[in-house]
Amino acid sequence: MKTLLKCDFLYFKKTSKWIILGLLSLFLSALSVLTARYMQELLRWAMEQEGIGDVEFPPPTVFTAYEQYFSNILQIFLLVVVFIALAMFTQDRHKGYATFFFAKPIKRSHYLFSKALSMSVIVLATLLLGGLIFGYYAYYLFDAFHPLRFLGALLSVYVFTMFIVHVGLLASVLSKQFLKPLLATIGIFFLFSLLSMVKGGIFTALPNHLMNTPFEILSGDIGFLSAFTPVAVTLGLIAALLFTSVYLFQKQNLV
Amino acid sequence: MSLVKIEGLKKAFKDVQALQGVSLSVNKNEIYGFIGKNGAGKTTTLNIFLSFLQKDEGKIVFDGEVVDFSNTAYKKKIGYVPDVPSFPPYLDPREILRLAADFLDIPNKQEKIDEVLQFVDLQGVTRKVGGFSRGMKQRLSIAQALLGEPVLLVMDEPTSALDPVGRREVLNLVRRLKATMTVFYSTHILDDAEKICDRIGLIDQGEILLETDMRSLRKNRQIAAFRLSTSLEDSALKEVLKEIDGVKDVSIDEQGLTFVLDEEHSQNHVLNTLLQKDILIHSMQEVTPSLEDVFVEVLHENSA
Repeated sequence: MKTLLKCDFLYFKKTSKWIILGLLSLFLSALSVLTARYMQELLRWAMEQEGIGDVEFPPPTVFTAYEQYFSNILQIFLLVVVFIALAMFTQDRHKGYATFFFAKPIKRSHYLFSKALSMSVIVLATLLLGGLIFGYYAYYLFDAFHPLRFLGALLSVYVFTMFIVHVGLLASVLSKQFLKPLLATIGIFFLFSLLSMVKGGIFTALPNHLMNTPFEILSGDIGFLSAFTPVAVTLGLIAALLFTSVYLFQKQNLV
Repeated sequence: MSLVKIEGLKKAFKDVQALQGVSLSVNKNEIYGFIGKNGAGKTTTLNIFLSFLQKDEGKIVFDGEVVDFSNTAYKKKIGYVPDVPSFPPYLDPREILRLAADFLDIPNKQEKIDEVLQFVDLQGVTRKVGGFSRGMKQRLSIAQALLGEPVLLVMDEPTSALDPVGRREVLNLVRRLKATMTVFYSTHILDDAEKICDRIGLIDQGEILLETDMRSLRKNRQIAAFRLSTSLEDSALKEVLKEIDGVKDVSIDEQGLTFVLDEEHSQNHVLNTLLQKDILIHSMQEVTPSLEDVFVEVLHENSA
């Protein structure tokens, strides 16, 4: 397992995937704060140039930056994570490296656990890095930042991202190609995005609600328990997806 | 003493029965040639042996232990060289070998890596594997397979995708391994098998048709065939030979004239008759059947 993890982290390092994710996270962090802070001024200036004056905008707050940041993470960052995860999960079988690995005394369960764990660590690390930068800029430009609420919101987004990544893991076990599991995973992501618009009932306990949770946590609309239910349900689903993937992979023909 | 014993191995892919009860044994310290046409069932057999594929029926025993699909421990004693090796292209040879050494948990990693890189003549190569030629990838594949000092080296058509130079390099490497380890060598190139194998198993349509050592193979399939060169033109010599008792099947090809003698007459009888006719004999040599001749003959016998 240790060697498999070493191998997977080597993949992130040598293919510069961790740099791509890290830079994207940093870029989205900085961009979210800057657009929240200066977009209104830019708009006001543009409207004056066009002769449209006297338009009043409400003053920007750190909550505008929060909203911008988590929207970007849930749309752009998550989709890039899905692409990187699926490339990583499928490449060994898709590109024929699997015989190199599985001719060695490697347990198939360890192989999948390592892929899931290394992906989870990279995503968490890049999200936290981006969060730090966001916090710094937010405090600098808005004189306000709510570290605990922000961390709670970030972790709920992380759990949702991991849920989609593990959907991808199962899809990649079911198909040895790259495109089919990628499309299936993106399809499921869009389905949950649609479900996030449904309010109330059982939908507040499912993973889709984690797309709303960050905004609710940051605005102080929900308490710990309300946020805990969808997180716990999603963590349970992640475990189910992981163990189903391992179960199927252990019986599977590799060639 | 068998190192690998396969009994009644069966595998079907949907409607196609790829293996129909393959049984064979690979003895310790021999090079076993697993020979057959493309699609005969060689790779399927090896893939099942390495637990890349599930079997439908049958039993495989390796080094005294039954091979179980979910138990990977036996692979520590096996080195595997596929027909078209693929490695993560973003790694260099040393990184690949370091990973392989870690997977095999071998001591003295650096020393062993230097040793195998030298053996396959890749010691100075530092560029990424993505830029390697097929021959270089094949040599790296042999290096990673030898790293753990395996009891058995499994090679699945290692020369099939190579040019003549690469093929010769790989065959030379296998020759150097002879007597130091057991090699299970799958190929459809009969010339390769003839050069390096001690024993062969001939597979066709998922069935083993013949399993024997090379010496017995030649002896049992030997026919009294001779290549003859004299002062006469081959066409004139052909007419003379046809008149000699016991001579049958005289043929001429680009290598010269060949005739087959029946069991009741000796080659001296032919030589004496030619000398009596004042024909000067330049050379006469016995023709040994090639593996290709045997292969075709066995397939023909089986289809008949």
